Amino acid sequence: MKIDARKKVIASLVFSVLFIGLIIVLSFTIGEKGLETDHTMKNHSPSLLALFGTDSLGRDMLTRTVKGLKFSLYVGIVGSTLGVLIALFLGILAAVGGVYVDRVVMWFVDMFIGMPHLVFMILVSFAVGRGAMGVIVATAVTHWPALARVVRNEVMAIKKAEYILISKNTGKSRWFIVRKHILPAIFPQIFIGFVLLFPHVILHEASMTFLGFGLSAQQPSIGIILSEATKHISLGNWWPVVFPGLALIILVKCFDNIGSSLRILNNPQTRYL
Amino acid sequence: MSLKVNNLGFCYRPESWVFRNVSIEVPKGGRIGIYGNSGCGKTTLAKILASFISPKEGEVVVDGENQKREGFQPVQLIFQHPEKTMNPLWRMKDSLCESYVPEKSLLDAFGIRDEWMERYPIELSGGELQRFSIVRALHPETKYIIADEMTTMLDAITQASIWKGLLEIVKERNLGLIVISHEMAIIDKICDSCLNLEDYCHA
Repeated sequence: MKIDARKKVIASLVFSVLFIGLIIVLSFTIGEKGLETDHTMKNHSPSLLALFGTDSLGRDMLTRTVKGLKFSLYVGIVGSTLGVLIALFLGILAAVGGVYVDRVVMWFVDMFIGMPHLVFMILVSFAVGRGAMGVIVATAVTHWPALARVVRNEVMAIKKAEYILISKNTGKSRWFIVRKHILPAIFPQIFIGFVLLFPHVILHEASMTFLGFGLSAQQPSIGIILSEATKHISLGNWWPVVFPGLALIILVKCFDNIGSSLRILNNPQTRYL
Repeated sequence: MSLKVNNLGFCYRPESWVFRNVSIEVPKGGRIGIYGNSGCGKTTLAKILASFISPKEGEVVVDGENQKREGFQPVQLIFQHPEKTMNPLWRMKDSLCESYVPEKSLLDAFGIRDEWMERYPIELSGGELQRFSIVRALHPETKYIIADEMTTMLDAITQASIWKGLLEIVKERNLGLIVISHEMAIIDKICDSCLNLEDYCHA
């Protein structure tokens, strides 16, 4: 990496963090007023009064978009955190638990990867009883397999290191070794995996609400906004689709940026070049 | 009281023996040298004795008991490459004090300086790291020490000072010592008896 490239990576990192921060701040400061229907304000195109325009019920699209993204972020945090925890547990279990445990766990991972993701999430959300809870649980329990495999391989690679074998031979327990030797060594991978899970979870949340699984129509969510807005696009109302869709894409891209920038900065081979 | 090896055999692939029928007995306080060409299984034997890997044949008996898998191993191995035996993310004091806290006199005997304690392994030289790994192996419960090419990568003066320190403690605590080396000079100087591992090779 040349100096310029390094600056570019850091700049994109800073921009992404700022954008996500802006959405979080906005989502807490903007009032609920824009979510109320107002028939004097139906179908206004974007103006200074309503930056993102208003929809067919006179609701302010900026407010709806920000509130929708807030829900996306919430689902994203819960989904990625749970995904990382499950992946960590199963990945380490597979790597240190012996050959048979490894086979069983990897069989589960393969099974989960082999299943069509969206169909599986719809099934889970039905089983949990739909609603916001359904979306959260469905996204949380389906995003761990790829990361579990990464964790397992990382642990496999270092568990035969001499300093770990020595630690074992001086009578240290497996739990001590996992906690003090293995977890710190794989932490960068886990953190990057966590950040890179975000966009997946958020996009799946949006596609589930778009398809109508989960939230009721008046709750703000990017998926619901988009599915409503597609009905009005033939009337020439482009703004209810474009702005929320763009906001979602930028948010997802921001998380992706943070993940890839951290990966570049963390890798000793690309860090200083 | 001895470290006893009965008819030990090991192979990485079935029926392709690295060595077979190895029998050694190291009494407490005794010193035995093991030598042989590269690739004749010296390090493999050391790892079996220190319970890093299991033998395919035979048994290792430590002070009358069969070698156990769990808990502290009374046979401790000092590796050839000290940089691989330290967790790169830990400060030296954490690596050193992982299993016990050594006394100041022990650190002085190997010339370990206080200022090294706060450093990471990458910031110390091979000889400095090797001192740490020796002190770490000299746990109060250690009964036998295996030095696997312990000083091969060091200059003559450092070699001599490290061996001097180790031998004093081995004598003081009456530990059994197995020296694995290419250099007959070291084995001749230190050991009571020696063994050529090539005699047991079934290549």
